[in-house]
Amino acid sequence: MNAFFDTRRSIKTPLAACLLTFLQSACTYTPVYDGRSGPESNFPGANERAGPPDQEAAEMSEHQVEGADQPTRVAVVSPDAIKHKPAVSNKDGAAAKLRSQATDAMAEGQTARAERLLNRALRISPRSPETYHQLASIKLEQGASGQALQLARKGLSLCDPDSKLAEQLQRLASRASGY
Amino acid sequence: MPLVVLAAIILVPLLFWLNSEIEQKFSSHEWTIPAKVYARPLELYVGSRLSRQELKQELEMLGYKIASGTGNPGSYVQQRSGIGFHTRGFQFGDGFERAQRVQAQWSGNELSRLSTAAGETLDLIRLEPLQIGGIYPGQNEDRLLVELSDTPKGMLDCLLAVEDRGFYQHPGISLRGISRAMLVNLRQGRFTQGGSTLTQQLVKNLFLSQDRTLSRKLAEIPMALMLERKVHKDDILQMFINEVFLVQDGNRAVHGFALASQYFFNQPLQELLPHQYALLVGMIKGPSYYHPGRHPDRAKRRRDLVLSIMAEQGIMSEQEAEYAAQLPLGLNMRPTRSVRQPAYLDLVRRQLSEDYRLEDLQTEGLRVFTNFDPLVQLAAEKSLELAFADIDKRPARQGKGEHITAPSLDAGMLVSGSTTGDVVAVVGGRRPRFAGFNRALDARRPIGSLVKPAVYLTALEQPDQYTLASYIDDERFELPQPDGSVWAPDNFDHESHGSVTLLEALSRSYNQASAALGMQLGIPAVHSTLEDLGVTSDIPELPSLFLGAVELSVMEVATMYQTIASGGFNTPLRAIREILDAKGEAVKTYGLEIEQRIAPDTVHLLQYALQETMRNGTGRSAYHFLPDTLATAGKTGTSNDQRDSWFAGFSGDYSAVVWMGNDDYETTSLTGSTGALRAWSYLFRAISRESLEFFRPTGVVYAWTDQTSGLLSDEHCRNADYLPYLSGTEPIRQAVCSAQGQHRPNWLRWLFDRVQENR
Repeated sequence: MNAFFDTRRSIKTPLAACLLTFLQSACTYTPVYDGRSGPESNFPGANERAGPPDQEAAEMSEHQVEGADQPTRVAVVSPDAIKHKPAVSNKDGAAAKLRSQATDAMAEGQTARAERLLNRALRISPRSPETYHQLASIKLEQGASGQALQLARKGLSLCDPDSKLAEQLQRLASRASGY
Repeated sequence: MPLVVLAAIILVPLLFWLNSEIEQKFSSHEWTIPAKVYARPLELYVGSRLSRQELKQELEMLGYKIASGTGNPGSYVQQRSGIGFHTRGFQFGDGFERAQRVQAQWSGNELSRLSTAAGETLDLIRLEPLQIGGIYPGQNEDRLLVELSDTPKGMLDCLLAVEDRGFYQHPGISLRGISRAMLVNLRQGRFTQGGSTLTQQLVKNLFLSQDRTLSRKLAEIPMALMLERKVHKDDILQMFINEVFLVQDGNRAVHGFALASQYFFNQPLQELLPHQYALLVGMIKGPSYYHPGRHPDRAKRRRDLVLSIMAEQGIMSEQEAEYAAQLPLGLNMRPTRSVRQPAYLDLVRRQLSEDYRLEDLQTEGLRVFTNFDPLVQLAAEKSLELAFADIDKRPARQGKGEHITAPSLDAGMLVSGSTTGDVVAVVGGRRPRFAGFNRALDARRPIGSLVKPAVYLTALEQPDQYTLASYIDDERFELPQPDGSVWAPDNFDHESHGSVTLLEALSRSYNQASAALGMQLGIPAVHSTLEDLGVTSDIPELPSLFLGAVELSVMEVATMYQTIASGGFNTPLRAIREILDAKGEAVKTYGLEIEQRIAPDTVHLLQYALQETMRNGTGRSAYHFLPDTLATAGKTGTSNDQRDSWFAGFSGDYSAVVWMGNDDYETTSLTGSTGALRAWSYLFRAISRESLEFFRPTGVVYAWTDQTSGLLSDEHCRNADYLPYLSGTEPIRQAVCSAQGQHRPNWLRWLFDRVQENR
């Protein structure tokens, strides 16, 4: 009944709590996870884990997990959380700044410096497809088409497939593989 | 007359020899400068999830002092709203990061504002990187070269006042000094004082043995005179301040004021105040006799004497000298052991040796910039400590002997950026400060179930045959081996689970199902997947491979899981970012190198299964420690007879592999979950701030799947899982949906959803 308690704990008004308790028991609702809500709401033993993990609970071993019949299942991901578009990272402001510095460096012919700046941007925000795009363009310009293709593919795996960037990456990838 | 000829015959070649010695010493490299190894510089920017505590920890490691008021470079102040600090500036490969006053503010867990003292917004700054070690030549001399112009003026005046007042006048030797010394020697009846000039001391240090003999003294004089004729006074002084021996630190001899300043005060020489540099100048007379750590009273008396000489010579006023004499020694010697990172440096050295000769590393003054993250390293060490403490507290299980942890139970750990492959921390053993057997790099152990993702990935790469919802039999079977034995894999709980899905079999780590799947796929196919994932070691061609009868190091397992973590792109795990020469020119830059080995779509399915492992399978005890909101993926591993406890897992920002076991292959009675996973969980609770992002690749569709039939189900049906499939492989036939009464009626669901929204 853990999921049940968890639900009740989160309710703001006592009246609603009473009502829901009544309704749920009246409907003989069994709190089997059915994939409808986010992982936060239906985690087994959430109450216990609010405090410091007690030894008993933490003792759960591979043996017990494998042997036990598990009544509740935690969703790996809720349907709503599955995105088709990547989230914009909160780190991307800093990375964007470095990318624009890299663009300037390229304009001045300082390729090595541009690469350094982009590598730095990647360390700050390793999932920015824009950075991969820019690095891939430099590699292509240098004639390192193999690495350009790989970087373009990596960028493609991280970006919204319907975006303009995806189109650019696609074009870059086909140019790189055409060499 | 013959005597003079004889003297000439001996002396002339001797002078020539001395001359060539000097020429050689000064024309080639004057000093051998060991390569310096730096940690990653801490990047600060708005939106960073660096905590206030972590910034403070970093500043303290860099030796920043708490300042009152505005503060100098290398100082910080804690405010209610954040932290104010004054950076030191640093020459990086891509430009100079200038020293400046910075205000950092937080909102929640995020750095929300960075500004200059004048209130201007800063987008992005870097702190100077922590030096984590050097690569020393045979004599183990360490130096940090400093130019005369970077040395505090007061310090130079002080040095000359104490050691050699006539330095800029004498020709290399000082007759007055020598005669004064001789007088003392005669009075005491033995040879105790040299009356040496700085030039003589330099000559002595550079060319001559350390014995106090008259013959050395005699060679010293002509060499000092010759040196003065060849080299400018300023250069001699600069050489002196870089050559002077100040302290012995274990097997490392610390030469030069700059390094001594780091050693005793954890500060650059430029920042030293009179009471600090007076101590260093005073120590020249007897480095071990006046060692401020070992003989603080003696050292303080000597320092105060130096201060009074400075006042007497007019270098500072009486009041200033008195004030300085009241100050404590102000030592900030980091316990040497806490900065030692033998396991990480070991990796750095190995990766350097791929491109460099050891001699060049030891002498050319290269600067090596690494990915080492001291904050993560400390968290990694701490998490192992906590895990071992838990294991020690645990009562021994029946029939498993008295102690679960033999004192010999040890561990290895490697942490990397989950997308970049940057190695940020390495723990080589339970006592991480001591160099020795590096279990993260050199212990090759059977990986047990850690191999299984490769088996399932091989299956998922054949989408017309297998999906996560495909069934496989978890039953006993026997396979006769060429050598006459019979292979009959067993499950950990000695039970078979019948027909199970691939998802269930992997996340619960069922051996019989995995072996059966492996047999269907064949050894060569799994072998080739392991190679795609980055395993380069020999892989035995036996069916027991499917259950992990392959011996790999933590490092190699990390490479394998890195490929999975970064969506199928293999990247070499790197410790080094860049190498600069002594002048600051880039010698080599190690940029990102990636290679797609597995299709991102297929890896997405595997990542899903490894997340299922963490939520509902063998890895779920991690969520006793981790917040539910942090999405992670991983796999436990336990070798035969529980000799090895493994865990490999990753989130959005980090990937880490932990191994626990005994060096002598003794059994441990730990499983992957009870041992290595515990340490991994503590680590990720401390360092991980980013969930594995659930971004669905274009070639993947999600479909509600009935748990018992594997057929298409619907959101409102019971026992329906929302599973990923490669497009076109999702189930088409509709399962019978469970009866209405067994799930929440719509109106109740409506209410339930409203309540959820209000949370």
